[in-house]
Amino acid sequence: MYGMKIDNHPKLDRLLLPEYSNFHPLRKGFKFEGDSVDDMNRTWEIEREADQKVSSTVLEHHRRDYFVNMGPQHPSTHGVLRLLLHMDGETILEIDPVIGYAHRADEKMGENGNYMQFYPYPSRVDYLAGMIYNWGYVGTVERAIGIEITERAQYIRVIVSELQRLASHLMWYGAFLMDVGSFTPFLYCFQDREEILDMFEMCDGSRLTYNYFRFGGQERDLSPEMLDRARKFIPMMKSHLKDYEKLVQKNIIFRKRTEGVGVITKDMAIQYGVTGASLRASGFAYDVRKSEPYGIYNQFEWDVPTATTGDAYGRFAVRVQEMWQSLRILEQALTRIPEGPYNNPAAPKRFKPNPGEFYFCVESPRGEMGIYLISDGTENPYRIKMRTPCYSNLQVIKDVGRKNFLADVVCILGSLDIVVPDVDR
Amino acid sequence: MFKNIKEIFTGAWSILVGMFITFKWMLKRPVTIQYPKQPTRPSPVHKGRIRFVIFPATGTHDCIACLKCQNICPSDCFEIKGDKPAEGGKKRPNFFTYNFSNCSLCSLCIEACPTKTLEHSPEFNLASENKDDYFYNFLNDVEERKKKVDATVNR
Amino acid sequence: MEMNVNPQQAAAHQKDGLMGVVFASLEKLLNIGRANSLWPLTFGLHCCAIEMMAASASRFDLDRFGAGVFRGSPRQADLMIVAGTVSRKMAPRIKMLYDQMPAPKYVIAMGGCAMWGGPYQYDGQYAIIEGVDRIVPADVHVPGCPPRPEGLIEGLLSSA
Repeated sequence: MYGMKIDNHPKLDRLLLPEYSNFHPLRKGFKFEGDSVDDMNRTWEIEREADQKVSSTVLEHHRRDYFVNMGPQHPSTHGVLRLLLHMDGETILEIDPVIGYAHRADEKMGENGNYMQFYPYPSRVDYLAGMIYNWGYVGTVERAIGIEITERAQYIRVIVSELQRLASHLMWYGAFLMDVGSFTPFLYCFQDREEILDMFEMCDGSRLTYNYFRFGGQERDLSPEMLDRARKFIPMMKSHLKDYEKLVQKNIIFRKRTEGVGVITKDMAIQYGVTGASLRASGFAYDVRKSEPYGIYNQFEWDVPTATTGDAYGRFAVRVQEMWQSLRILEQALTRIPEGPYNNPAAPKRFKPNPGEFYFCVESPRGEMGIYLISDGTENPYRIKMRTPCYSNLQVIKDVGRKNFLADVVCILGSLDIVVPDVDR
Repeated sequence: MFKNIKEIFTGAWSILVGMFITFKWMLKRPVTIQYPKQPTRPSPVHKGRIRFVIFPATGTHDCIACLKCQNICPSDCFEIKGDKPAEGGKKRPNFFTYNFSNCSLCSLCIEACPTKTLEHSPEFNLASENKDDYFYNFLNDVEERKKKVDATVNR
Repeated sequence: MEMNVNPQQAAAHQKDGLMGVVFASLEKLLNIGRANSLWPLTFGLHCCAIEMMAASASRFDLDRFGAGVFRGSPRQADLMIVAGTVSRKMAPRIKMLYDQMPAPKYVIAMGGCAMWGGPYQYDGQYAIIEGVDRIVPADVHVPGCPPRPEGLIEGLLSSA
């Protein structure tokens, strides 16, 4: 995006933009000259030629291996992700992900408006963890301008984030099991998720993409009805999780399908920068809420679940345990939430932070999400960079896919929990 | 060998337990809402499209065409033109369009408005064949809503 | 009414008005069948895809309208729900998929992004196509960011 040239790079191609593009958008002073319909038709032909060059690599006749294109439109890739599978019979030699189909120029848009006007965008980068990404952005700016957050707002943030983590894991649960082959847990988990979305609608007004956080607090207070509903939700969710464990986790077909598949070793995970449940399933207990606590997470009693196997079953078990720990944190937060103001009235709406670099990271359901902000003293940010977890997590698929079968690709991708706009921003 | 036989039994038992759980769930009340025959009720703070508030005291909106909503909107949804009336008083808008397709429902315009004359409407099930239907002209919209209120009051 | 009629004979008897009645009611029957079993193509691009999945899940069941079977292949689908922003890199593939669908085919543009570019539309946008009907003709537009599942159901019923 900046047009840097790196020496001795094995494959210096365009990653997020189409292959034939010859512009560098993130440079200051870049201006895009739009193209007309004729230009669009011509670019499509260039695209198709580039596609054919990539997917039909000319192989000599005596070679046995071949390429399978798991294209951008696929029921199991959870979005528009393209995987080029280099196969030998039924075994995979290498998986090559091709990204950029969901690129929406979020980071460039951050430079166009002021800090308030960037609100809608972090929530849409990972739409399953909208509240948590909102907290990431708002936390960075609060660090930049040095503003106090009230105690009730801190508790509200924890409650809402843990509910969001539950909703995201429920969605992952349903989608992963649908990929592996069973349809029932998808329907059960979506009903539980609808309960959580009802609660979010009572507090914020939207079901999927939220704008609930403001600098210094929240947009509006949590109503007593919503808190009551959350208190009734916890025992219901606990009994459902026990049912799901009997239904899924002990099921012999599920275990045969996921045990030993897609093993990520600890060294591989640390080298690639994998975070989140995929790292914890390889035996490394790293959770941003414990190692660099933000908000009031250090006032609650909870554990970081880990596993030692590093396979898809381990990642699954870690995420289920994370759901239990989220319920534990929720219970404590709901009993201890104090009365008081939900936002700081002294928070400025238009401001010019001091020039400098600021970084704030949160634990999203997929891993560590950080926002890196460079401010130059004006009302518009100079650069907003989002360190998204799925971008790093997806890189590991190149090494993990080796020696697995074609049917396991779907299982590996599902267990890594990839949300494609998170990869491409 | 014995391990395989044991696995067969534990596996078959796990599948029977799973089927028992689904049978138990099957006997629970169904959760499907038969929309559109059965109405769904979004919460009172549900965020639909933006519209003018009709104040009960004046019977109309209170927009002063200050352009604060236009300036703060991240997606440039508003286009407003206004001027002061000849007989004096506050500035009033004579052209106010809002593009709902670009709106991300962030509520920044509602917070920025000094006269609190913008609100979210409770509509939630819009669909149409013509995409220009979603360029709302708020001044016409207010007139239509006033006619509807008069019609229900004078029935 | 005879249903197994030779088309050549049909043309010959057009003057009598008989064959016209047979084919009109056959066409009507086929249209009822098509309207009540619109099979969508799984084409979720971004956030609206989750609301599409929620519309097909337990609470708002799309299967009640016959549209619950999401096909993976465009050859078997007759409705393409474009849910999400269309990026410039993805645009040729959308055109290819639309061309591969057999007629009669319909397109629902779901969400603000598929209609006019949504919140991502601004003057320097280099990465998305602002509105899916620059590429394929869209029949129904469902606004919102994201639209509620009830909105999608309304859109489906109006295209059926």
